[in-house]
Amino acid sequence: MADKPPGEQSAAATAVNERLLELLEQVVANQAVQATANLQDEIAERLRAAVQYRDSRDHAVSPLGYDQLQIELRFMALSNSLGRFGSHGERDVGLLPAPELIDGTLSFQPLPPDAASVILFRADGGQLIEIDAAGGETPFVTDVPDVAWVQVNNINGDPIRLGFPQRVPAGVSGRPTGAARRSHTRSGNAGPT
Amino acid sequence: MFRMLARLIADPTLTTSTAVPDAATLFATHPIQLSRWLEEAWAGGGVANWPAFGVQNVALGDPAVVRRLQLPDGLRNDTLRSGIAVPSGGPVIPPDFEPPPALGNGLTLAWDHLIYAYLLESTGIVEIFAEVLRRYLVGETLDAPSIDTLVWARASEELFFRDPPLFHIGGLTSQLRPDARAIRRNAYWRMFGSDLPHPLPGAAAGEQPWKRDAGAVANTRFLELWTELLRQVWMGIENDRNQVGTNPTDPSYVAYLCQTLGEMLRLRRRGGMLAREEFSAVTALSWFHLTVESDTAVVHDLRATAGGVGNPADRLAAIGQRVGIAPARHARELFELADLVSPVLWFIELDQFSSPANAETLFRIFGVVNPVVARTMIRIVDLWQSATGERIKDSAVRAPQRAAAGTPAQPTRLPAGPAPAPAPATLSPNGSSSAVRA
Repeated sequence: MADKPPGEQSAAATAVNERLLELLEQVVANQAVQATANLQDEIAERLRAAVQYRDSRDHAVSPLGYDQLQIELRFMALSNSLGRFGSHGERDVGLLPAPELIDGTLSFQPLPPDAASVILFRADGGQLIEIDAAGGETPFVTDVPDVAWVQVNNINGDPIRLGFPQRVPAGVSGRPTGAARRSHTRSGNAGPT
Repeated sequence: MFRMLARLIADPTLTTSTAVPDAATLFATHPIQLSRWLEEAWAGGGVANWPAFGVQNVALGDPAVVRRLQLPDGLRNDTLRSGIAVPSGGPVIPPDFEPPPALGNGLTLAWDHLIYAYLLESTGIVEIFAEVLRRYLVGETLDAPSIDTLVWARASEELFFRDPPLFHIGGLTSQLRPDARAIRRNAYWRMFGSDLPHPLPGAAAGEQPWKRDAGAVANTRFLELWTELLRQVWMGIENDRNQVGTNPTDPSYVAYLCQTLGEMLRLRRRGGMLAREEFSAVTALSWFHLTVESDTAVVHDLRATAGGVGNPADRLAAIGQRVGIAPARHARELFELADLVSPVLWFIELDQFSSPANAETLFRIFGVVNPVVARTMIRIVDLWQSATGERIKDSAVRAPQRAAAGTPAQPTRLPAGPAPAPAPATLSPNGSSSAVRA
C-alpha cells in the first residue's frame, strides 16, 4: 500500500477532526436537552406532590383514632354535665337530650342534624347494637333494659353525641312509644313499623 | 351545683348551649327547697353515676358512698322533696312548689371537683361575701338592699353560715368540727397539699389545726406533678406540627403523670372519704360564683355591675371595695381556671388519660376538627402561668423553688443503690409555696 503525500494526510485529519467536533457538539447539545427535560420532569413531579399535599389538607383525616375521639366526646359531655358549654365563642355540645327508657324500650328525641347512626352500650362497655338513624329522626329501640349509655356517630363514623337514658316508670311519660315488644332491636321514625 | 341549677331552670335538658342561667329565680327560691334539691342532686350520684366506659368505676373512692349516705328514696321523693321545677308557663318569682319530677331528675349530673372550690376560695370570695352579709344583717353601713338582695342574704346565711338541717348531706359542722371554713381547708390540704393564700379570719397567727389534724398524708407532691404535666402538655402542643426535627413530646410520660396524679387523689378518697366535704365545698362556692357571674340584684345593690360581658373578678373587686377587702390579684385567672381544671381533674381521677394513646388528646391540635381537650389545656396553661408566675411555656426555665423542693418529677437516672433509712415521720411543714399568689 503506497503512502499518501503529507498534504493529503493533513486534509483528511482535519476533516475527521471537524466531523468529530461536530458529533461531540451534537452529543453535548443532546445531553443539555435531556438534562433540561429531566429537570422539567422533576419540577412537574414536585408540583404534583405539592398539589396532592394541598388537596390532602383540604380533606384532612383526623390524626386521632376512634378511641381518642371517644375520649374527646366524653370530656365534652362531662363538661356539659358540669354546666360548661365552652367559652370565648366556642360552643361545645356533647350531650344528647336524655332518651327515655320505659319498660325496656328506648325512645330518642330528634337526633342532631349530622347524625348517621346510634350505638347502645351496656354498663361494662360492651356494645349492644348499632342502628342507622339520620339527623332529625326520633328512633326507638325495644328490648334494651340494660342500656347504660348511647353514642351518636356522624356519616364519617366519628362519635358526636353522648346520651344517658332516663329511666321512667311505665305510665309516667306522655311520649308515645307504641312499639310492640320484640326479641330484637329495631329503629323507626317515632312509630311502629 | 347552684350554677348548674340556674342553668337547668333555663335549659332543663342541658343541651342548649346558648341558654343563660336564671340566677334571679334561683336566688328567689326558699332555702329549704334549695337544701332539699342538694339532697336530690347528691342522690343523682355525680361522677359516681357516670358510666365507667368499660373500666373499673373508681369515682369518689367508692361509688357506693353516694347511695349509702343519701336520704332514703321514699323520704327524699315524698315529704322531703324540693319542689323545684319549671312550671309550664315558665319561671315565676317567687317560685311555686312544683310537682315532681324535680329539675335535673334523671339526668346524669356531675358536681365539680374539689379543685373548683379551692381555686375559687383562693380569690377571697367567701371572706368578702361573709363581710357583706354581716354588714347587711347587723347594721346599715351598706346601702339598703332591695327585696331580692334581702332574700339572697337570708338564703346565704341559712345555707352557708349556720348549721344546715339535721341529717342533710351538707351538714358537716358539729361539736367536733365547728368551722366550715376550716373543714374546707382541711380537705384542700389533704387533696392538694396546699393552703389558701390568705389566713383563716379570726385564727391566731400560725395556728393551722386543719393541717395538724390531717397527719402526714397530705398530697404535697400534687402541685409539683400538676405543673410538670402542664409543662409536658405544652411541649406536646408546641411540637404537634413538628414533622422533621427532634420531637421531645412523650405521650407515655404524660400518661404516667396523669396516672400518678389520679392515684394520688384517689388515695385520699379511699372508702369514700372527702366525698361529702367536696360536695359541700363546691356547692357553697358555686353559690357565690353565681352571685358575681352576672349583674345580679346583689351586684346591682352593691354598685358593682360590669355589664353583660363583664368578668366575675371585676364585680368581686368592686364588692370588695365596699367592705374593705381586696380579692386576690389573680382572681380573674382563678375564676376561669376553676371552671376549666375541674373536668380535667375528674378525667384524670377516672383514669381516662392514663394510657399514652388517650393522653395524646391533651395536646393533639393539628388536623383535629374540634380539639376540645387540647384547647382546654392550652387555656389552662395560659392562665396557670399567669396566675402562679410559673414559666410553663419556657422549657429552658425551671423555677428555683422546684429544684429546692426536692427531686424532679421524672428521675434523670436510676437510683445507685438502696436508699437511706427514711427519717421518722413528721408533720408536713406549712406549705409556703401556695399554688396561687394572692
